[in-house]
Amino acid sequence: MTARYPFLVAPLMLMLLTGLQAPVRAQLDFTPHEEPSTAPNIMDAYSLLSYYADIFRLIPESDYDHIRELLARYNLISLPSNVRSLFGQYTEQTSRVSDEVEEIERLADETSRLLDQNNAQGANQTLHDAAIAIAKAKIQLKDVKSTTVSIGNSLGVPKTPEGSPARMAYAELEGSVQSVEDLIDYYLRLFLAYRERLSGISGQNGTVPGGTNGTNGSGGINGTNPTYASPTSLTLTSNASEVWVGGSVQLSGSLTCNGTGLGGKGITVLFNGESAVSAVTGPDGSYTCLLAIPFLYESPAYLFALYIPSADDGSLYRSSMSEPLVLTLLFNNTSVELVSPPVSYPGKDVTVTGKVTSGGMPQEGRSIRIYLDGSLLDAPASGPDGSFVTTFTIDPSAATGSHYLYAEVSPSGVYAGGSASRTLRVERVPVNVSLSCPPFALIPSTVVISGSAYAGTAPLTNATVTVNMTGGSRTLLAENGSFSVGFELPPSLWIAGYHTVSVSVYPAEPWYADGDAKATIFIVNPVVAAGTAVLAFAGLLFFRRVRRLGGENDSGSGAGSDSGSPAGPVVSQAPADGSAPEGMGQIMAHIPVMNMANAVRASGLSQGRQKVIASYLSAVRSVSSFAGVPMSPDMTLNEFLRAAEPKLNGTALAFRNLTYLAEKSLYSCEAPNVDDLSAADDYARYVAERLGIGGS
Amino acid sequence: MEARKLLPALTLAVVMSLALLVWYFPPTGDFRIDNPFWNGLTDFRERNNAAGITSLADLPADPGNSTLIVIPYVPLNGSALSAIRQFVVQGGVLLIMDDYGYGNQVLEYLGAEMRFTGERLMDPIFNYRNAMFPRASDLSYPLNGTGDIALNHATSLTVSGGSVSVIVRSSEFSFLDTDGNSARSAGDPSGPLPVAGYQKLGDGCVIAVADPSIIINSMAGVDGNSLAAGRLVNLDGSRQVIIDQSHLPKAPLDDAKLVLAVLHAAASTQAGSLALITLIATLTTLPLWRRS
Repeated sequence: MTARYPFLVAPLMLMLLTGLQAPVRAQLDFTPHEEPSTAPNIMDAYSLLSYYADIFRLIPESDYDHIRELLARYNLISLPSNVRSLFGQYTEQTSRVSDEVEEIERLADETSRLLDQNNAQGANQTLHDAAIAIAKAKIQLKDVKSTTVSIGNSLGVPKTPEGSPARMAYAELEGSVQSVEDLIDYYLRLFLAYRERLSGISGQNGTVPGGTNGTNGSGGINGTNPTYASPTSLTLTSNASEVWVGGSVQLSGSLTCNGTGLGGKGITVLFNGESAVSAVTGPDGSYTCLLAIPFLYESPAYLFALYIPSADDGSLYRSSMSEPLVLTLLFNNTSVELVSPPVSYPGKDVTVTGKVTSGGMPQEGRSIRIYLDGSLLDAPASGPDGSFVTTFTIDPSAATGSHYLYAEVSPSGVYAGGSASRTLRVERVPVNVSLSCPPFALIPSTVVISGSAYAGTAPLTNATVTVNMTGGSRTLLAENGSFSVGFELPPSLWIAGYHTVSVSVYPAEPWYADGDAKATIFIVNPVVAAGTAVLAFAGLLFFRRVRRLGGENDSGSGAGSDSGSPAGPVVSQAPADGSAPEGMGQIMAHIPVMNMANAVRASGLSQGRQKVIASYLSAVRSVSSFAGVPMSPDMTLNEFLRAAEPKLNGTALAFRNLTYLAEKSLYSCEAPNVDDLSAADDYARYVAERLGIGGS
Repeated sequence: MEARKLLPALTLAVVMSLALLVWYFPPTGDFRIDNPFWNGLTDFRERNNAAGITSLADLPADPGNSTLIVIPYVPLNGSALSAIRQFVVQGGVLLIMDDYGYGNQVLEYLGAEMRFTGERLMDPIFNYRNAMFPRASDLSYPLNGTGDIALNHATSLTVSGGSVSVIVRSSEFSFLDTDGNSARSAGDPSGPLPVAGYQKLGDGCVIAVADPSIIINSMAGVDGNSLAAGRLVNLDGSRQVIIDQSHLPKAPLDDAKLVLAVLHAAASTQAGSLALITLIATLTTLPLWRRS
């Protein structure tokens, strides 16, 4: 039996070891999921280039809603951090180009409509706006082209072999960008055609686009066929390639037509697409003007000169635009340091400090705006040493986690603006709840649950405590952090089991987190449990009695003489399974030889066992007489054998075997077979004969 | 102490220790509501106050205010399918979430006009970590405004009738990797592809979501997954959320826990307590019986 235990433990150990390992999945075709934190962050360069190519391809299709939708989902693209900034810039540039082309398209439609309505003044305005929009678009497309090259390099496209997917996708992107440039050029030609058409209208109506209707119309070339308008050429140069913001630069250029300067013509200079300054050409077509550089802190700036013929000239000359002039803007960068505590708590004050510098020099009097999650908190000014400080209170209902703290310094003169940001981590102080309750409880009784709530080592004050136990709930105020409440356990039929006690603590101060604790109480109902035990005990007794009675009946019918057996010596009843009732010596001590057979029959043993025991008892009587060794009441068969065996000489072996058969009959579950009966009889007879004493 | 007396005591101690370890060690199986690890549903359970059932026979008699989540990773038998149909017909919302399992068995049995394709959905552009984590942002009622949904080794749906409303679609850059080469091929269906849809059946409705992994602990906090899952299970107001745990892949630990749970439940009843006390009383008084 004991050898089986290791085999019982082994499967359990195996079960545990395998159970703690990875789950066994059903036989699925593919992996159902993957742990995201360990999944590789992979950017598909080919697909990413195709994404932008698709966007640029949608511009000529005028599908601007789709473009906006795609660009709005840019944030859904998983990009490695090293290229995220570059692609963010590219997306922004793409968006600007798309918006500008859409504006150009709208202006083209509007101009066409106005021209159809012979509204020369309105058309002249839209053509002016269109010229600016086209200039902007060209500038932005130039940026796009530049960034396209940077993206290609960052993705390693030039290193990929010819014909590779990445190379093909890059070529596709370049082609898409080129198609946008072609579209802008198309619109430029369209607007120039509109301008000529406008000249025709002006000639017919006598109106001056951009001027007052009918006032200067007489100066136009009425009836001139716009088809004959001559192309013009415009140049733009500056006296400096670099200029400080807030400063000025001298611009000059010339307007010519077929190599001849055109005098008295109005020239508009666009600064980053916006109309900045105007000039009128001299008799030789040259012009000069002074451009005041606005306080823009983005370099470089792109300048264009634009000539739009007046109504009078509309039938003579065509519009023209200079090549872009790139101007480097000079300004000082501003640095901002922002210092905040690593952790803050709802309802508590937070002090944020910082310093504004430029080129390492402190900046005094700079205006700083401080935001938390986009909401303006304070707008202090920097001191003489450039430092600033502000104190604010964290919203008591602020969510825990990371919050975005942002400081922005406004530009000032030649100093550009600056900004800095930090992550402000808002946490609530964890609350510990100690719970004290008895591990055991009896029904009926009152269970007292007590405890305390504290943060760190300080107890909470005025915290609301809710105590839940099976079947009841109590809410109380823990003024000094401690609480105690009693739960009555009324009489019930419950026997025994675990009850869970849960305590929730809600602090009064917002900077503390809610706390909770749980405990289990083993509750016993002694009355019901004792009653149950008594019932079980009585049941066992009853069961045993029934079994015993059944055994007696069985043995009685087997012997055929139990119920009518003569009165004889009292012999202990043998168990129904045939095991030995008591010590054999006790039987022997009270059994006269003549009644031995009856006594054996009355012992309750089966018939076969009785025969073996009868043979043994017969031999015992012979051995006892011959060896002079009485069988005392407390003697076992084996003890009697050991006491008598040395004196039995040649019969010792036979008596030993007979003793063995008697023990087997008394104690073994296996009943003696026919051979055993025969052998027992033979042994008894042999012993009797050899010892010279008659058997039974 | 004699070996024959020591061994039983030692064996009993080992068995009890193992039982305690098995009882208190959290389950590790996929989609288990008590599994606190990355592939479990403890977050979802707590957010939606969901309860797990180990047999579809335990579904509420009146399912009008309930949502049942079934993740069929093992085949369903006839009684389970019948119970699900009864649940839906009587007004329950069935949220069947599957990718490569046996979801179509349920949809076919219910006569729904949508099926899971069982092919891998990939999106090389709009994704969370890589193409196997597509992000779906084309959302319709009831998921308007929930934010994008990040999938994790998902599949897609096919819709065959007009009674199905598609509520989630993948992006136009997504595709089904039908040839298994993890790249877009000529024959691969391109997006946008349906990822979730619903259809009214009887007094209830069935919602099919082609990725059960959007509700596992590691994905619940990504994008709008948690909000979207909350909307799906509370389709028309707050509902009691029930998660079927009987058709999930089982780990040996889950089986062992199940056995212990059954034993614990049995011992917790009045009859069980009675039997336990009787057994303990018998064993402890056994020497007395023998002596008498």
